[in-house]
Amino acid sequence: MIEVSNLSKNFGNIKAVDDVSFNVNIGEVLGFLGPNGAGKSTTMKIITCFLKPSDGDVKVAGHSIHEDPISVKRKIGYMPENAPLYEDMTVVEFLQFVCEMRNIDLERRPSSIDGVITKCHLENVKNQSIETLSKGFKRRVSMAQALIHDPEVLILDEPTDGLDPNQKHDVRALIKELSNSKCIILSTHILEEVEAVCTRAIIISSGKKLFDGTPSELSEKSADRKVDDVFRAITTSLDVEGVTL
Amino acid sequence: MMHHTTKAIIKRELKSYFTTPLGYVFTVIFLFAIGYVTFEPGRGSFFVMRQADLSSFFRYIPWLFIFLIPSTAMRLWAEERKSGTIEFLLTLPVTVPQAVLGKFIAAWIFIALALLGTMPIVFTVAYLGKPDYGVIFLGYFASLLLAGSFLAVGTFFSAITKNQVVSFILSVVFCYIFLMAGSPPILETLSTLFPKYMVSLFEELSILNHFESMGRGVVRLSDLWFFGAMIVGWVYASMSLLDYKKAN
Amino acid sequence: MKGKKEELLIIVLSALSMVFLIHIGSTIGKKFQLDFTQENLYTLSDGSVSILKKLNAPIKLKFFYSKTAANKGSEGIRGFNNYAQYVEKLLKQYVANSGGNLTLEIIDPRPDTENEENAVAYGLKKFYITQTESYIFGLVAISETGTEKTIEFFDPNKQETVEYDITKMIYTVTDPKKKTIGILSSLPIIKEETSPYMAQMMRMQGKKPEESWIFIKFLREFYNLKEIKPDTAEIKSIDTLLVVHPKNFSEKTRFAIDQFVIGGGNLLLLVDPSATVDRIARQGDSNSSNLKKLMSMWGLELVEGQFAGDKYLSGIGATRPGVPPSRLLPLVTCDQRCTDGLGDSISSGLKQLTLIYPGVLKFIPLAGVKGSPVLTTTDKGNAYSAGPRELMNPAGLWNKFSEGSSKVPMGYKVIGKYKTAFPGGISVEEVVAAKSDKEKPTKHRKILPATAESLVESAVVVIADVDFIHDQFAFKKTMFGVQIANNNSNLVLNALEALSGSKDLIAVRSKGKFNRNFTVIDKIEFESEQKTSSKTGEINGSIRKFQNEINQLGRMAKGGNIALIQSESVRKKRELTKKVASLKRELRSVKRDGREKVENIGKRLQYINTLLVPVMVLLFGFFYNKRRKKLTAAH
Repeated sequence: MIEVSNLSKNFGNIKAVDDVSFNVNIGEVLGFLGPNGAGKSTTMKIITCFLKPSDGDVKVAGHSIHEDPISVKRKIGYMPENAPLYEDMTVVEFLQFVCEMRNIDLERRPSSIDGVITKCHLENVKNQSIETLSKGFKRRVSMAQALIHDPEVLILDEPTDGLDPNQKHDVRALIKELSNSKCIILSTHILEEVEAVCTRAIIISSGKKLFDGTPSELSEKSADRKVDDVFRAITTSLDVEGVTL
Repeated sequence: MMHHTTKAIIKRELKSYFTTPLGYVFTVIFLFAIGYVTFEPGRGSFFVMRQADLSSFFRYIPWLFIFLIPSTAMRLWAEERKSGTIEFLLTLPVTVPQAVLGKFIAAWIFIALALLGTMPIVFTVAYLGKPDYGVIFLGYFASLLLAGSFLAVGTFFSAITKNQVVSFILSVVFCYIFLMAGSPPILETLSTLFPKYMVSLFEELSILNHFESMGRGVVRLSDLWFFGAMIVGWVYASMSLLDYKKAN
Repeated sequence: MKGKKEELLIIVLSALSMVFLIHIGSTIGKKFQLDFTQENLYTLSDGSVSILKKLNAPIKLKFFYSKTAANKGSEGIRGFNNYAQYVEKLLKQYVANSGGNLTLEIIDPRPDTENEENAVAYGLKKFYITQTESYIFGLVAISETGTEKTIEFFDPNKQETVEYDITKMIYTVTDPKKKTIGILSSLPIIKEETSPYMAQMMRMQGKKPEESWIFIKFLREFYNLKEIKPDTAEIKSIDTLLVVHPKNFSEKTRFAIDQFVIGGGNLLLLVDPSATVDRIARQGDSNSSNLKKLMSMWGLELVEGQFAGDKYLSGIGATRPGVPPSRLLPLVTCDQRCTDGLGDSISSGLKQLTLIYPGVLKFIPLAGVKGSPVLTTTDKGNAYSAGPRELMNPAGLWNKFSEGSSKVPMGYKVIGKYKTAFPGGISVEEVVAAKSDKEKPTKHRKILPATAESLVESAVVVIADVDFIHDQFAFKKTMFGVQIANNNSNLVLNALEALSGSKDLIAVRSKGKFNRNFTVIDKIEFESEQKTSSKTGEINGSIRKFQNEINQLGRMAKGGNIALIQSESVRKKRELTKKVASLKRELRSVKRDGREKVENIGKRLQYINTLLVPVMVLLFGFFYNKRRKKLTAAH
């Protein structure tokens, strides 16, 4: 579904993404792991056509981000980091705006909006203006806008960052629920999350892809099945006790 | 004729002028200030001149617009950038030109509505005497084009930075340069530095000359061309700039 | 760092390309324009266009404007820039309509340059605005044959007639001869010029030298004048005819005038239902003049026995010495309201005209004749009739007069082809000189045939007043000699100038400045002024009455009890002081009322314009957002 090939992105002299390639298919939940500033978000922004790569290409459902970014964007539901939203709008107004932007049929709009409101548990706040919502609700609104057109590809940039344990649980449950029919990429630096929801994990650091495999493959590298240790060993290339790469 | 995304953005932006204090603050300041300066007791005051025309009204329009329009324009992109919503907006299936156009048109409509709020002055002159409605119409039309030009400049500088204050100052400075391009002191200084041809070229860039020329009741093709070029040029530059920023 | 550089490059490139685009546009797009002004300020009138079309030789226009100097000057001088731009735009329209015959050179004369010397040599006015800077704002037209005409200075106060002035200049540069005006009058308005020495001699002999009216002397500066005696049967070898007060003209004279106009001659006619300057009329003769039959052929009628009046234009004057001055209906002081919207180059821009008992003109539409008023009352004016007795009592007229609802014309212009008033010609007595000494000269009647109708168009301007051009009303004597008192003489001069030019020149419509005064305020002030003057009259009346009473008491005192009379007069005086004081209080309050009314309107409008809409906007915002919350809450 997503084919990332030889993707590179330079910001001035800094190589944020360096020759990264991978594919993701429907049914897969890909966890993007890496330290802060590793290039996770940049890669996601390139896939969602917010940034243009310096080199390489991404194809989403066969559409290249260079040739047909609009079709790419149509296929994708994207939840940006920190869930930026138009705060002056109410939840419903906001979702309506997204419907208009995504040109969802007029008749289907109410059902789409109601659907995501139920899915993301927004019933009680749907008529509040977004600025009055708590962080957790804002995430859910952001999740709702990403789901509203029932996209095949879902890209979530740190979807559980800053949430309390219950909220995290809810989000993970939702991701699991969606994972059968969709192709999902999510970025995180919480390693348990990968084990909890992902079918596959990619570790990048300094723009380079360092690991690509299932979470269990990752944990098997440590004698004590300590994923933390494995992560540290991979991203810092230091010798960590009990880890064999 | 207009893309559905552009329409959706216009709708959203326009609504936000009415649901946030900003729109009201702008409108109230603008309407109060223009009313005040028009009636301001002084030599040029409307009620002292006792002429049923709007010259003492339109004279102040550029000087209010030069501050008020950059202040509306500054948030267009700088705020999106700062709050991060630009990432949300541009990952929706919309092209940069569609988005820029939508925001620009919405702001323009908003200013047109604010101008509409000055209608009492038209009723005032109609009550007091026999105004020349053709000239008044053209004055409003010129004000709208002036607003469009300032807005286009403001859009560009709003796209350049995420700092609204920087964007505001840059747009005010540039609007001022364009406004005063034909003014005597500037031309005088230029004529000591550059050949006459350059000076007259610079004079052609003067927004004020074109605005006042239309305010006198005659519109030349070159006036329309000028405003058209200003608006299209700066809006196009904003589009290219945003596109260019994507690649960097 | 590379990113910043590229950003800069984008800005510079886009700026440059925009400058380029704008430059192309303004060079191409200057010619096409759309004029939105009611006065069509920026569009040439048909008359000008037609004169431009007829040009068949190149004319050079040199427009001198000290732009650089003006920019350095005071705000007042910089204000001229606006007008200069307007003139420049207008001149460009001339060039655009001239079929390539006009060329325009715009010159910014700097001090001590050849340009400045040239400008001064052409006769343009030069003003010093600072020690070093001089200011020139004028136009020179030079024909192929080297004839030069100039507009020495573009006076911003004469913006209304600037098109006429420029067109006239272009016309005269192609046709530079001095014109001849024929003058025909029942009044002794034109006399042989007597030399100052002769005049002195006559005065010493106790004779009053007979002098022409001052305006005739005034006309001599611009035209060759030719007196036409009132028994002429044919008027020829003049360019334009001026007829003043055609009273008791013989058929022959009228026939001559008729044929002059039919033959394509232009005529300025001053008629008057009551000419106060017609002193001869005192001996029982009427002082009214008319050319009824002729005028009817031109589509005009002087309404008999009717006068044009307008309280809003009434002048202030005293009818007799000793009587306090008051507003007089017969004294019509015209300002721009009299020419408002008429757009006639003859009268427009004249803001100070004084007419005395002007008559009422009517245009009766005729085929092939275009008529347009050149001078009217305001729309509050009306026609009134007055018998000879009433004419002596203006105060009575004031009370009798009722306001009208439409403008009453006092001056009219017609252009067209006319039919003669004498289709059969006229029969005149002819004296045949004796063939020999023996025979007596014989008289016999002879028919003078008439040309039945005009072949070419001609123009007739009629003003329904004669007095206005008399010395008494048009000029004033000052210690510097005779001066023009008002625009009365300009009206005649403008009319003659237009009539002695080409027909097209007459058709150049003035950029008639529409009256954009605050009519509402003017009305309040006028009413307040009226009240004030009636109060002043009352006060003066009481004082006069008191003085009479005191005088009477004084007379009585000769025989009576002095003490009683003194105490009586003291009492009266006290009464009067009280009464005058209370009247003065009323006067002040009347004045204050008027002023306050105006100020209140100003205040109210200011509040409406500064606060009304903002408050509405805020209320809208309040309720809109409240409703939005409510609606969404109910969702």
